Amino acid sequence: MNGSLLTMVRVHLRTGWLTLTIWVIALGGTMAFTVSAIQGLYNTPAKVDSYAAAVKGNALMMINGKIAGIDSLGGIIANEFGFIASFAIPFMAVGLIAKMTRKDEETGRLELVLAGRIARADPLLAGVLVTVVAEVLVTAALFASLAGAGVPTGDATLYALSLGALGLVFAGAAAVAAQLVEHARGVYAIGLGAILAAYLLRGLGDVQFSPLTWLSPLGWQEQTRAFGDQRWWPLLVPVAAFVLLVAVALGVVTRRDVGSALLGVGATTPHASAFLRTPLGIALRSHRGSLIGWSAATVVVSATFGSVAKPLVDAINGNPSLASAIGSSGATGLDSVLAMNALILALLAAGYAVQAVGVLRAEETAGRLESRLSGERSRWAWLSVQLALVVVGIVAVSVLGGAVLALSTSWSVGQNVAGQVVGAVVDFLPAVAFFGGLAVLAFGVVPRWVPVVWLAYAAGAVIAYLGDSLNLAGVVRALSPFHFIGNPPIEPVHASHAALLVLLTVGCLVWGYVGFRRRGIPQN
Amino acid sequence: MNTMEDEMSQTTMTAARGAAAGDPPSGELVVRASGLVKRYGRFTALDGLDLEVRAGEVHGFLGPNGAGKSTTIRILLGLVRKSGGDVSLFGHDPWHHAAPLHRRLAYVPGDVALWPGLSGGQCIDVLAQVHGGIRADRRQELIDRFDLDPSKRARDYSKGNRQKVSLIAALGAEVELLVLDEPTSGLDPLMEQAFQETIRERAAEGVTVLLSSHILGEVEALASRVSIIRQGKRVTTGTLAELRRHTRTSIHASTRTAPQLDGLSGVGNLDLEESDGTTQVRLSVDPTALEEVVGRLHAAGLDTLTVTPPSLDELFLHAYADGGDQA
Repeated sequence: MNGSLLTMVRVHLRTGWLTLTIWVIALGGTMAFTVSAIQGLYNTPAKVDSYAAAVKGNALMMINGKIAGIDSLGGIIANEFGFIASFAIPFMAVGLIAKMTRKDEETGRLELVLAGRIARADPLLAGVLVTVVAEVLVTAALFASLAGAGVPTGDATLYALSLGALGLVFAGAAAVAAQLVEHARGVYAIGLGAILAAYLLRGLGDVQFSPLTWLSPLGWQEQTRAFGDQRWWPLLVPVAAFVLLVAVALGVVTRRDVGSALLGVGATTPHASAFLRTPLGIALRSHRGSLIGWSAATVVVSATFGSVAKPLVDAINGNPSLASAIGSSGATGLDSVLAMNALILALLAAGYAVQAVGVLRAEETAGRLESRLSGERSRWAWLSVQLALVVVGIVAVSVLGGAVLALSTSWSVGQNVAGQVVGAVVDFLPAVAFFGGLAVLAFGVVPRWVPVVWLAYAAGAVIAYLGDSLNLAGVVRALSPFHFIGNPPIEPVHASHAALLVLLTVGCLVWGYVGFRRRGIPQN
Repeated sequence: MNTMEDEMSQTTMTAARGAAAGDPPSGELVVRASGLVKRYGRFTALDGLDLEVRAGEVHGFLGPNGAGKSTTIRILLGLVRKSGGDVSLFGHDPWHHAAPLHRRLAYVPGDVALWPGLSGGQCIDVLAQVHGGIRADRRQELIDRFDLDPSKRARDYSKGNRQKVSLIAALGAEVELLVLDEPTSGLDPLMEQAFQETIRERAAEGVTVLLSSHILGEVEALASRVSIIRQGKRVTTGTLAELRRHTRTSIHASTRTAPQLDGLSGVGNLDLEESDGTTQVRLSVDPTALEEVVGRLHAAGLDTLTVTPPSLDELFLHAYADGGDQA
């Protein structure tokens, strides 16, 4: 490694070690936790076999993938961890790369660094190297958890490597995305879109037994069949894709101007329209991107999951123990599927809510909030307009997603389930609103902690998703609002729980409002 | 009346004569740009810019907002690729040899972005690291001189304090060239003094400085030569004395009789005012006509005479103004 590259690696580590550490610990920890919980639950061959029998068939493939060797402890772990791993590992890669490349460039820090003895390609190359190190650490943690649980070393190695390689592909994709767009948030958006596309392609390919799977990096990961009929050569595909993508990104970064992006920005006009000059108009402009992005993602996810409802419903009806695997024992197949999809929609809407409050924080850190509040408008008025837009956004995401889910599910199962779908979506709203309230509380009182709300969100999502299959204690499960509210439409929402969530949300909002009116602006 | 274009050509001629008379050979030019062009889509940021910075000089780089100063600097740093023309830094192409060339320079941007989570001291170290490190004593000396609290987080720094961090990292580096893009725009007058003092020390050590600035006093105090650019082109270049030579001197005199100045070429803004038997005379005059004008004022019987050389402000306003042809 030459001096310039080494220096850049040190700069990245020195300025980003905390983010890196949080990612590695969060991912490694979730894996270790899942592994030990599953190990405890399936501690005899008979129990393992019964699990395999329960999830047999292609119904769950859409969600967790086609897991080879499902009749082994490793297979069960892969099945339970698969959904989280599909998103978390790629997103770690995208997040780290975006932070170490486009974020530095958009703020102007890259310019400072490149004016030193740093070769043009090295900030990107060093960012990729640091991300690879993070992937290696996560891979090692996965391997250690699996091997510690008694999974055969060969299986554990292949599975951990396949997930590490999955991260590499998205690191490469993010490195290319960082050349395309001007802002780090654009890299995140492209990355999320790619992750979602990979997930849906893999799911559709698995359900249809079509080669579509091979178009998805998640498909490549799955094709190693770590716990079944092992194949090592599919590891070469993601590695080759990674090398190719990084080469493309390096080719671009050494040729373009610092601060420029391949995709230019759109046309601009020298005057603001009458609407843009209103408080609502300028606020809408800040929220537009996340509103469109989350709505589009919700529509795509709802359409995909709704349209594959039928085989899943049949599978559960034919094999009731399957319902317990997706957390709805005793329910009909249709209700189980509706409940699962409503939960996914609620997760998306809550994600939008957290992100949308993050937009408010971004206004503050960018210094725009000061100038907005230096006029005659009160803080109360500003926050109210912003939050009105957040509420509109939550409604838009829920309505769009709910409508598409109702239509596609009804089409798939051949009967009108619109009422149940809409009912379940509405039932989840208090849980969704709670995360919005939590973010507002953070913004109003300790604005530095707005990003920390994502950790609460992630914990809530993981508990809701894994709570039943891992047999978590009721107290732990109750910590997730998505679980606490009930399991619509299988069972009606717990009215008292819903009321408590609404109360907590209102409390958060009031506290957030009061805090926001009292605190200094900007507060770092 | 002299037009700006006349002055430009005169300045250029002076420069050309200077070159013929044995200016430093081109090898001693640290920066050389000729006909430099940079386009962003349909927008032309640099439109055939010329710039020479000689080894060991403090070169003032001036121009109105949007004239292309930062674009020029970014091309010199190899951050941005030229669209046309020639440019060299230490005799090498800055785009193709960016990293090796950067061993010899340090840079302070006008708008300093730091890592919000690191302390100011950590930011200095990180920035210095990419310049090859900073000596501990020098670091401490500069921190003291600029009165920076290095233990505060960068996110809590004001613009001026962020600029100090960047200045300390750059001024502490052992380099031959300092590239400073409006480095003091956020500093208070005391820190401005500290900055000027440090630049003088570095210049005395033989460091070349390219100083883009809007603070005319700073340029006047530091720069041995200046280049003024406008709309991506160089308008004029030379030493401050040279530039002054081509601008008008203001004269204010009280004479006992009205002086005969009508029809004299080289005189402008003539204003005569009679009161209580004396004539208040205000005018501006070309260097060529100065002797003649003073002679005629003397002939009219001088009571008081104030001769004001062209101020830098006037010089710059003149060069900045669009068209630049008002005298």
